[in-house]
Amino acid sequence: MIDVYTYGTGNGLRVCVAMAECELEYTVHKVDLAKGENTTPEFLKMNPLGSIPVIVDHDGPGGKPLTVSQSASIVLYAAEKSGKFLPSGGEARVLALQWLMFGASDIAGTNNAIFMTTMRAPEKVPAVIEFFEERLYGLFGEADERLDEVEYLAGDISVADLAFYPFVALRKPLLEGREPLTNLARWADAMATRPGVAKGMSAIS
Amino acid sequence: MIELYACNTSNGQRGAVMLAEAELAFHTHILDLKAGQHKTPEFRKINPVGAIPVIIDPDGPGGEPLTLAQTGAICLYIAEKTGRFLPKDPRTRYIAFQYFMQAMSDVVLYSGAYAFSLMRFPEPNVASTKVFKDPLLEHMGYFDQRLADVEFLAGEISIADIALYPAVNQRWELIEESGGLPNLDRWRQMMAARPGIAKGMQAVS
Repeated sequence: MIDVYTYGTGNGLRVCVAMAECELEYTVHKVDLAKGENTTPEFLKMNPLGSIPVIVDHDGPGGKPLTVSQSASIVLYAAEKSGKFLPSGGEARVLALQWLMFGASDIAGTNNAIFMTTMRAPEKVPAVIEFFEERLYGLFGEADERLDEVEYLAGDISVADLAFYPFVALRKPLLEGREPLTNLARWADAMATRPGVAKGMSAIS
Repeated sequence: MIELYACNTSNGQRGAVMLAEAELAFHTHILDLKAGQHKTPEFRKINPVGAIPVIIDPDGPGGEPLTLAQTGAICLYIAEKTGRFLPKDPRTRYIAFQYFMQAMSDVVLYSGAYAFSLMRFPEPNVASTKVFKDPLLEHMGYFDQRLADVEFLAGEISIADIALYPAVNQRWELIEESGGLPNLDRWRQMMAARPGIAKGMQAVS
């Protein structure tokens, strides 16, 4: 059994999607960031950084419990534990990892920069917010171009799609105000109809 | 011989340091970003999105040539290709992934966005830099705490140290101005003394 401590952010939901799609046995514990539940002594014991998501797998490697934070490393953990969504070798594996890192570095980073400049900044600077929003839209455009050639980011469905999807879903308003990215939309629709994705996305009510 | 397309940014340094540490032969092509050399039609043939670093490995998976972008993916690829810098013990492996992802997502984001906000607001603007500077220093402090207990982030040297080093090096002045971090400093000096790190940093300078 894996305990998943998370919240309804892009990083938080990608872990729920990965757990559900990998069909692992898990329980979701909501950590309400708005209420500061990530700064309690109990939570900080699991992750001194106080960031979600965190998992505790009571049946980790060697049968011993293992605590892991950082959403992309948790997605990798789920894939390797279940033997799903990550090819064991060849170009397919390299591509899956390449697009996983696209989601982990570029997408999650830029998405977080928008959050910080709109929600956390003591003063809102429209030029800065616009810069990061345009950058995120540009990154979505890169994925759209890729999805013009292939059905899923690495060809077949992989960790890359699971890690990317919640950000596309959560940034729907940003996408709607701009020129449509039709390949990305097709991909997002295909992802949304998957029972595992739907289950993961609704894990935090 | 691996071809590396890079420049002297922290991501460019990560690619070069990873290749040098893994003791792979590589030839560096330095791109002048200010002159837009990463946006030329020739370079876009190598990486359509016009970002560095990129590697071309003539001996990729299945003996076929491989072109690979995304800094983090390059680190993972080289680690798996050479069987180095990814711990063999499964538990330590996930700890390495965790710190690697923290460097590649959180640190890269805050460090890059901090530089961007300074560039955008050459006049000191505490409000906007604080949103990125404070979390960046918080992450650095967290690494410092970790390094009080262990020599390298995952216990043994791994891709996590290689991914973090260029950011620590780049932001060292800022860290010192903010009071310094003794464990991170010890680690930084130990990393700098490694021939592979020195060679990689030199290759893109």
